[in-house]
Amino acid sequence: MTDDLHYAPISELAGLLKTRKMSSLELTRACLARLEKLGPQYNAVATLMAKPAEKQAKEADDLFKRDRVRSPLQGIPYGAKDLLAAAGIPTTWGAAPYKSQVFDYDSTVVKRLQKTGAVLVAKLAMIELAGGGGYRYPSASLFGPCKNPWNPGHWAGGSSSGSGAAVSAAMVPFAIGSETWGSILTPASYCGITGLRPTYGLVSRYGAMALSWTMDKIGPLCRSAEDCGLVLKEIAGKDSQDPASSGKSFYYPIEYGRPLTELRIGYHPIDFGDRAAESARPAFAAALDVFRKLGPRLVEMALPVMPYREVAGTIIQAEGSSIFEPLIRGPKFDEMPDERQKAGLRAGLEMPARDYLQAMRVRRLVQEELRKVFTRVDLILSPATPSPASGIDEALDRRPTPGEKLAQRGNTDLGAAGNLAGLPAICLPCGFSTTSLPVALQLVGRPFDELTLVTIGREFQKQTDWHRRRPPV
Amino acid sequence: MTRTKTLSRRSFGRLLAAGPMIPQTLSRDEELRAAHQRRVSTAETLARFQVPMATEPASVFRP
Repeated sequence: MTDDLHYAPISELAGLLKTRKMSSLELTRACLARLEKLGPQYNAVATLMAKPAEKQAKEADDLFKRDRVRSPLQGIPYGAKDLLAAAGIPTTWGAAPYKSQVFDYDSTVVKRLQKTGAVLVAKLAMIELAGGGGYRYPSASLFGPCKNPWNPGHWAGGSSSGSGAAVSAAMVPFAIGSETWGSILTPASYCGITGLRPTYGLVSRYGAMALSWTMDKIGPLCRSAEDCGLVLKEIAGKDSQDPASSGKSFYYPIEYGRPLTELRIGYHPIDFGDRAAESARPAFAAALDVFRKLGPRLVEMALPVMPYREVAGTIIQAEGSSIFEPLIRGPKFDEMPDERQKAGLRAGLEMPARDYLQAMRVRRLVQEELRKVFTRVDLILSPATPSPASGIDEALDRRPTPGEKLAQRGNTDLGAAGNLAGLPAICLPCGFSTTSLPVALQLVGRPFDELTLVTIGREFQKQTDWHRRRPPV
Repeated sequence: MTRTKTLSRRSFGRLLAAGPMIPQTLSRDEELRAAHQRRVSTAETLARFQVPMATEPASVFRP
């Protein structure tokens, strides 16, 4: 199979499968071969699923032969972050204590994708326990540090590390990741791909490892905004097995998207200037110009000053430590390598109820403040990460944050704020740093307004080709 | 129990701008002490944020 096909978007692959110019089995085998070759190079793969994948691919081909097409994902291979249960296949949560864990049921997302005819080819590497204790090194994973396909001396981002690397290096056309705070947007940004964090409650978390009951979300990492829309349509929807399920679905007729000229996008210049890494500023400035030309009105705004990071950190630490208490108190806890992460989880067990409640009360105010912000703007735009990918051995808690001592915060805390309020976001590659690493923008929208995010992402990607660039693998 | 003083939004912004304490290389016990310190320091920052008495926690969370 040619490189062009490996990097083709879902819509193109779906067309080839439907017209039987290519079979799902051929496509699946090509992905499996690439995963087998590149996966170990980048520490991106948890489990390769050759046999069940080939069986699923043959079933998809049988449907195509009978002119039955269930969805645009039929016959399309994909990878799932190794925190999603798939019956009979190891689900390690990226952590040594769970290396032999096998569930006898599928997570709802895996089940939904199976119904559409998509082919699960691999479970993908991740940071152990999705990094809930606050890890220091990219090596905080059962699979080793996940390397960035654009430069293996750099990290792929976390915690959906393998999902980011595998899509970026065209091992799979799309992958499923999860985000509690930054775990879809960071690897998407570092790896130069498009990632979508859905509204809290839109996609069922049943069968997924829980890190924070009130903040976990599951979403797609793809080659384009359009592909994210196609995948989200299939995985979103009501699920009685997830108590947080909103009961809402995502419909993806792009013609129902709002005209861009009607949109008001909030941004703050400092996010693209002093609060961004110097090496990324030219790319951010150019991308901002593209947005200006797309038609929406750009409005200068800044988030109200609130302790977003402290609230998010407290909630994740309290809920994560509670969830993993049996592990933390048990003999296998020390099998995990990252001392900072373990210390964070241990310390979380000692958190007084008043601290958690204070965080949840401030969170209520955060929600109210953001509701007010979204009466003035439709979307908020900022860099997805202020800097490109960190070094593969770099201590993440000692990495300088651009402009961290500046009193003016702009929308630097958009990631924490958006996750606290359960808001959807899309990550769009927007160029390269002067050090030749991908950089990206994030757009955050109102709850359940994923259609606007996908629409504007699609228009941005019509004007740019950053999402089509290929790493030197 | 330490009594903490709540701050205005502006003073609170200055407090956040001061940034977190960054630990050096630590032993396992020191790492745990540092994690507790971070937790306590975060809690103190949160306690200084003014929350109206009637504010209920976002317990049943809906976006």
